[in-house]
Amino acid sequence: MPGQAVVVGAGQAGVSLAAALRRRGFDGRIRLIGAEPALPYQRPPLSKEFMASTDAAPRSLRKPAFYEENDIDLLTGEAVTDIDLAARRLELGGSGSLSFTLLAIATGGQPRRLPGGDIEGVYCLRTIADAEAIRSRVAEGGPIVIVGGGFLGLELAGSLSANGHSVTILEGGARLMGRAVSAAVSAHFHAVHAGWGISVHCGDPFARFEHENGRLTAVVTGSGRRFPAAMAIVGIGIDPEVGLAQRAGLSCNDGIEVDACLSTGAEGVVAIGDCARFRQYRTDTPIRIESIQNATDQADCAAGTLLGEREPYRAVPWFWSHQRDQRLQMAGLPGQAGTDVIRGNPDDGRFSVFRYAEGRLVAVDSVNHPAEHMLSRKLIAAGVSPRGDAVRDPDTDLKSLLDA
Amino acid sequence: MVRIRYVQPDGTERAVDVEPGESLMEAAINNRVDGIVAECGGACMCATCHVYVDDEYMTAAGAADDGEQEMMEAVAAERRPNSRLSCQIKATPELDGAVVRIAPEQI
Repeated sequence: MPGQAVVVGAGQAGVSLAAALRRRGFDGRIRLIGAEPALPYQRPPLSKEFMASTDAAPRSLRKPAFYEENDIDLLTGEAVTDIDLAARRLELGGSGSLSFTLLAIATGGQPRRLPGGDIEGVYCLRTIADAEAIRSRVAEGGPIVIVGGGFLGLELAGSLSANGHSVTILEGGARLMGRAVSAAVSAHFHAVHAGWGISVHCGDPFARFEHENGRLTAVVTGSGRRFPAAMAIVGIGIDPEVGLAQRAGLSCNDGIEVDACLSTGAEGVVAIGDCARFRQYRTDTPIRIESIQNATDQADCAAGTLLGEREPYRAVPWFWSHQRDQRLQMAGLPGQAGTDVIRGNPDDGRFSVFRYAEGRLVAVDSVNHPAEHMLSRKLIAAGVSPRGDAVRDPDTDLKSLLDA
Repeated sequence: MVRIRYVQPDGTERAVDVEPGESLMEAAINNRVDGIVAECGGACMCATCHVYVDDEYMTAAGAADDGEQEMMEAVAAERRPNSRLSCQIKATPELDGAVVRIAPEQI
C-alpha cells in the first residue's frame, strides 16, 4: 500500500509504531520525528541503572542501522510546530514541511511542575538530559528530597540511596503508589525503603521550596515540617502533550481523544501512548494509560488501524516497577476495586494481591513473584475471577482455572 | 562481530552478526528475528525473550543471576536447564557460532 506515514514522537510508542508499520507490510515512506536530539531511547532505565554510575549509557530503542535497514527516516531534534489536517501537511519548526497520508501522534507527556520548581537544585525526570543533570548534581553530595512517592520517586530513591546518599521521600497521599497499588503493596514498599535507610513520609503534602540566593535549601510540607535539601526531585506525574493536536483541531481532554481502535476524529490519524485518551474495549469508558506495554501494544494496534485492518485495542494492561532488587508487577487496572485478597505471605517479601470490583477480578499486584504475575495476566484476559478462598489457599492451582 | 544462529521452533535458522556487548535479545529485535518479544526492552522484567542455548555454548553464555532465575519462573514455554533470557546474554567472542533456539511461545 503506497503512502506517506509520519509519526510525531520518537519515544516508545512512536518507534514501536514505525516498526509495526513495516512489520505489517507497509512499504510507503515512513518519517519518524522526535523533538529530543538523542537517538530514540528507553525511559525506564533512567531511574535505575542509568543512575548507578556516571558513565552508564542510555539504552536505545533500536540501533541506528535499524532505521536505515527498514527505510525509516528518523529525524531527531526536530519539533513539529503545526499540523494542517485538511491539507495533510505538518510544519517542522524552521526546517520546512512534510505531507502525509497517514499520521500517528505519539507525543507523550511533560512532567508536572511545582511552584518554585525553577529554583536551582530542583529537578524532574523525563529525559536523558534530566537524568544527566540529576546524576551530576547527586555526585556533589548533600541531602536529596524526592517529592512524590509514586513509581518514579521510589525507583530513584532506591537507586540514589544505594550510593550512600541521604534520601527522603515526601508523599502527599496516605500511602506510597496509592493511586495504583493495593494497601498491602504500599506497606511492603514503605518498609523496604525504610529498611534501606530512606526516610519516608506520607500524608503530609508539599507546601513550598525554601531557597537562599536562588539555590534550594529545604522542602517544607503542609504540617510546617522542614526537610533540608541540597537537591529535590519532583516526581508527581505527567500531563499529556496535546498542544499540537489541539491546535490541529483534534478533540483533547486529558489526552488526545481516540476511539477503541485508537483513531482520532480525523481520517488516517491515530494517537497512541501516554498522550492518548482511548475508549476501553469492554466498557467504552475513556482512559489514558502511561506504561511501556500500553505504548508498544497501542503502536501495533494503531498500525493496523492506519493500514485498514481495524481491530479494537484490547491488550490487558500491565506494568512493572523495579526498585533495587524488588520486582513489582501489576496486571489489569484497579479502577473501582473494593476488595483485596492476598496470596502468599507479605512477610516473606513474595506475594500477590488479587483485587476485585463487585466480585470481578480487575487487577493483580505481584511482588517478587513473576510467575504469578504472568498467570494473573491470563486470568484477567480470560475474564476469570477466582474465589477469594481459592486465592488465599497456597495449594490452589490457579492455572487450572484457565483450562476450565 | 559474533555470529549467533537463531533457530525458530520450525527449524528455520537465521545467522546474525552481533556486536560484542550487544545482548542476544537486542540483536534479535534490531534484526527483526521473529519470536523474541522482549516486552520490557531488556529490563529483565517480562520473560518474553526466552531461548534455549545449545549445551556446548551454555558455559560461554555465562550463568543466570538471581534476578534472571526468578524471572525464568514466568516463561510461557517449558523451562529447561538450558533456558535463558536472551536479554541477559551479552555477545562475546566465546559465543561466536552459538546456536540459540527460540522458545515456541513467549506469552
